[in-house]
Amino acid sequence: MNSPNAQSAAPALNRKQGLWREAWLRMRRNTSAIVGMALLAAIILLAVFANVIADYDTVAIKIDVANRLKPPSRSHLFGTDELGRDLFARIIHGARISLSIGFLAEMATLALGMALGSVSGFYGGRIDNVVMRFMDVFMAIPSLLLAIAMVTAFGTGTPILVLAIAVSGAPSMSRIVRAQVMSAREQEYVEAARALGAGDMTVVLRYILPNTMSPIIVQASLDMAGCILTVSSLSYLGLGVPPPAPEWGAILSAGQSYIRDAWNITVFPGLMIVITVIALNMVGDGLRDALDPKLKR
Amino acid sequence: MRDAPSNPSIPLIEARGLKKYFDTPAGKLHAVDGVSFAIRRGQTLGVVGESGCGKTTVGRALLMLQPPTDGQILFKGVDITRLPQRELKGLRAKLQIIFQDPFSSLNPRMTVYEAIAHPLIIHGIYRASARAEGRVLKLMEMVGLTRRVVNTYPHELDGGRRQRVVIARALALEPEFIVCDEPVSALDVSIQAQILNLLQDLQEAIGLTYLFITHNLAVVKHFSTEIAVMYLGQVVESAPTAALFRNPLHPYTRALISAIPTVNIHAKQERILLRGEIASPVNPLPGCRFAKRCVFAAPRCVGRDLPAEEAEPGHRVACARWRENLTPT
Repeated sequence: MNSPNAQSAAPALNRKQGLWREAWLRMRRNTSAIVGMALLAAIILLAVFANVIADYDTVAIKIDVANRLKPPSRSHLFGTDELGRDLFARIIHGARISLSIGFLAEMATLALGMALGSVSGFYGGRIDNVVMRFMDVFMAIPSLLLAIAMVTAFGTGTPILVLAIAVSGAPSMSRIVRAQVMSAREQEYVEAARALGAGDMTVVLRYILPNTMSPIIVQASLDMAGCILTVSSLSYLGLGVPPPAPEWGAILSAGQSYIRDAWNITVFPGLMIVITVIALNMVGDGLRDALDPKLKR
Repeated sequence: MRDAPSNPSIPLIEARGLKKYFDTPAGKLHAVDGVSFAIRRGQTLGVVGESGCGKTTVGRALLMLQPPTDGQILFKGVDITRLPQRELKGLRAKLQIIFQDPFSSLNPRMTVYEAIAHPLIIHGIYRASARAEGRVLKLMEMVGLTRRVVNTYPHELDGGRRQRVVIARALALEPEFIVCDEPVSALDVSIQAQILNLLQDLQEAIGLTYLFITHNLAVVKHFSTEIAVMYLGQVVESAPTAALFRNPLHPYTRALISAIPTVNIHAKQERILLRGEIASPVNPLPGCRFAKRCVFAAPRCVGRDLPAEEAEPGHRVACARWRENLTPT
């Protein structure tokens, strides 16, 4: 009893995500991953609806000196800062900046790391040697220092910031990709693909990289926490997003002069950084457990 | 459809003095050392030997997956070892391979459909995966896969079905020659026969030519037109299947044949037990490589390489003492 042709039409597409669905089922049982995802979702929602909750121009960056350094109250949930700006508004707008720069920087790191890592892992030999020694040089420079150097040299601004973080993050990402590609390259299905006449690009894109994604995704989610920290650190040092943009590190930095009179200015942005980083780490750890095939029973 | 069948006197595929050496810290590893054979269209050459004798490397070299160190590979009379990459890609459609372990030879991230459709896309027969549907379903039918599994992933299938997917994928490009590298040894015994029958049916239906690699003489006995027995990178004996079983000349071949289990418990079976370790394939000395383990070894077996001699038409043996009709004491 064969099903009619029409039913088997559009094959492959409906169930394409089978392996990811399995990972999701495993992840759902992981409490800390779910907590991390919930926290992250909350922060993302706050960031997305920041303008609905508190308008940027009229609340987040509006100076109101009469109300400066107010403690948390009903009208100002987190109190106000040294220029009388509503801290809660600034922090949720800061989430926009931190999350978007963190995400962009991580994507850039991934792109760079995957390109370099797969070329070097796939071809090996001399190419591998050259690329990896180059990466070693970058790894020898402390990443924050490298970012500071780049920002100082090329000026502040989001694109430079993203690039600076990506360049300092790419070496470690490329090493992970390289190691994964090297082991996937030896698989028999790669040889099968060669026998079918697949070229290098096809082999890498369809056969090798899809099978190396899990550890890379895990690394990326953990890395993103680092990216957010770096953005905040740079802003704290005055090299990140220029004022009056409410970046968390910048708020923290400005608040430290008033730490005795107004604890809220430093505590709340600091808390946000901590929560975001912890949430990302929880998700990353959960992903690792869910995607690791060795844990499959 | 296919290019016109060329001169039938030319073998479909032929290896001449095929050599594949690997560099190791200890020296040159002679994985394949001067192997020659020819397979005519529609026939099957069984390559038999124990692990590490180079039989798998012969298959890989033949398809240029591991380009040979020396020697020629003639496909329809054309030496493919000298072809530029682009022409080789076109030829890949005609030369396919089925691997031992169907689990590791299928991309875990591709569904059955994608796996079978992908070769068609690589060779530009279809632009988009979705267009290949009719062809994919027909291939699945040919290898006895139900339509139900079209969207499943390899890990959801049992070994026999996986191997059927691998076969369908190999058939997608309408190959003329297929290297079967131990295609059943990773499967359950009950499934082995099914897959062997499938391969045989396909051979009859579309005139395939096989190089069938195995460590199990019993498997190739009913499958091959000719058999080549390999030992440490060399072919020690080759003959039409019937002749090889009727009149095995090389001591190693006899040992292999004696190791085939029989069903009759009353049959008295003389097992020839091989003693000693297989010699190292790294920088081997000239002479018979089996001599160390051979009960008939004599001083003249070593020191110089032994050429294969034709004992009867089509039956070649590389042994210094084959004429003496030795029997173990």
